[in-house]
Amino acid sequence: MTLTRHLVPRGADVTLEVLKEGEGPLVVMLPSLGRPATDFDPIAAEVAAAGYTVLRPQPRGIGASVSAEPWRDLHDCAADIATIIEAFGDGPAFVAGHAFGNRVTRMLATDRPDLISGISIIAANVGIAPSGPKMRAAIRASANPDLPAEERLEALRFAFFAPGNDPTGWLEDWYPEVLAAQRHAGDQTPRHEDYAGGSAPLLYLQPDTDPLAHVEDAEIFKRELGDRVTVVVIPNASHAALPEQPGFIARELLAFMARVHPAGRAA
Amino acid sequence: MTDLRWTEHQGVSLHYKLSGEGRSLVLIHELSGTSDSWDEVIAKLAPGYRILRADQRGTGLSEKVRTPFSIADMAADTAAIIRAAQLPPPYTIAGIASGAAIAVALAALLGGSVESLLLCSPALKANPERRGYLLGRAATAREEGMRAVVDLVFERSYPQSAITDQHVHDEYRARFLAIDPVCYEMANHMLADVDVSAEMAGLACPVLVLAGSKDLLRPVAHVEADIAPIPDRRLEVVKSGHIMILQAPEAVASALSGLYQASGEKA
Repeated sequence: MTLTRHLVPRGADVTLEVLKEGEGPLVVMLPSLGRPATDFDPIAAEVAAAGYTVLRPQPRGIGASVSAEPWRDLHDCAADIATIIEAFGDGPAFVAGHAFGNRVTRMLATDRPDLISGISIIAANVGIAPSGPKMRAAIRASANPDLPAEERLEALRFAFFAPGNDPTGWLEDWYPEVLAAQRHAGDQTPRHEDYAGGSAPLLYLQPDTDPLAHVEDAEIFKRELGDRVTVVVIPNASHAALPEQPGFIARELLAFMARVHPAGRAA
Repeated sequence: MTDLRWTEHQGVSLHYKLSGEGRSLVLIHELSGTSDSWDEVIAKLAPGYRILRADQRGTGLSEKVRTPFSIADMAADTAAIIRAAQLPPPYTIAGIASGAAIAVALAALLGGSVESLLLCSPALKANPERRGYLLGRAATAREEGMRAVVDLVFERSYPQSAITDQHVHDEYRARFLAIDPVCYEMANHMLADVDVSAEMAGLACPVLVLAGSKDLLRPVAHVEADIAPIPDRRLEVVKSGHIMILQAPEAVASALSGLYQASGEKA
C-alpha cells in the first residue's frame, strides 16, 4: 500500500499535511492530544487494505502542518478536518478519533453533518468531569522529554497502558506545545456542544481498563443516545489503546463500516 | 442450572450459556459443533467453575450470518460475550480443534487476565494439503446440504474406532445435520486460512495441549510441530479421536482440574 503526503491550505495562514493511503470511500483518522497521525499506522494500513482511502491529517504544529495562530476552539479544530474532506472530495467520510481526537470528531459531526456518514470514538472520555490533578500530571510527565525515561514510563503505565502492555514506544512522538494548544482549544468549547456528535451512526470503542475514559461513561452515553451508538469494549487496553490493540481496533472499525460506510462502492 | 442468554457484537446476535459457580472457565467449541459439544465434559467436571460457553456466529442459536469471518472475529465475539456475561478475570480458556485457535487468539487479546489455556486436538495452523478437501466439502455442503458430507466428515473426525458412547455419537451426528450449510462453508474458509503462530509466540500463561492418539485430522506429531511457538507448553496424549471432548470427556475434565492443581491453587 503506497503512502503519499499532501498539503492542504486552509485560508492564507494554515497549511495542513495529510497522509493518504488506499483507494475507496474516505476514512479519516484523528490522533490524541499532542500525538501525531502516525499513531494510527498499523490501523490505517489494515483499513486501507480493505478498500478505503484513509486520510490522516497531522495536527497543526506536527510534521508539515503549520499555522500562524493556534486553534481558537474545538470548532476551529473541526473546521481543519472539514477543509481536508472537502479538498479530497468524494465525501461523506467516516471519521475515527482517538482520545482528544474523539472530541474533534464529534465536533465535526455536529458542525458539518453533510460531510459525515458515521464516526468512531476511541478511548473517548465523554464524561463531563475534568481529569484529576494526578492524572493531568501523569499526562504532562508522559509527554515531557526532559524527564528521565523511568519516570515517564511510570506515568505512561499509570495513564495510558494496561498492565503488561509495553509503553516504551510512547516515549517518542510527543508534541507538548501541540498538546497545550489542543487542551486550550478544548477548554474553550463547552462539552455539551460536541457531546452528542451529530446524528450519524457512532461506534464507541471503549478500552476495558482506561483510567481517563470510563466504561460507565460509555454506558451512560449509549443510554442517552440510543440505537445510534454501538459500544464495543477493547479487551486488555488502556487510554493509549491504538498501540495496545491495533488489530482489534482495525477489525471493529471494518465490521462497523461494512454496515454504515461499505468499501468497494461510493458511500 | 444453565442460564441462556444473547448479546450482540459487530451487529451479530450471539447466544451463550452460563452455569455453575466458582472460577471463570470459557469453553470454545469446534467448527462442526455448538456450545452443546461441551456437555459431556461439563457433566464430568467437578463443581467449582463458573462456565461460559457460546455458540460461535453461524452456529447453534447464534445468528446465521452471510458475510465471511475470521479467527480474529471469533475471538472478538468471545471477548464481547465474556463482557456481556460479566465473567470476572482471571480466566481459564479451553478450546477444541478450530476452537483452540480461537482460544489462542482470545488469550492474546485478553493478555494478563488469562491464567491458563487448554488446547484439545488443536487446529492452530492451516495444512495446505488439506485446503482442497476443506473447501471442496464446504462447497458440497452449501450446494447439496449437510447430509451430502456427513459420512465423509465423520469417517475422519468420528470413525467407528473413536466411538465410546453410541448415544453421544448419534446426537452429535444429528446436530451436524442441523448446521447451516452456508455458515459451514464460511467456517471452512476460516479454517483453511488459520494461523495463530504469532499469537502463540506471545502467550504469557501456561498452556496444556491434549493430542488424540487416534486423531486422523490432527495427529500427535502435527500437533507437536504446530505448538512449537508457545513459550510455556506441555503436551499430553489422550486415547481419543479428533472430537476429544465427546470421545474422551473424562480426560479433558481431568486435565482442566489438573490445570488448577498445577498452578498451586485450590479449585
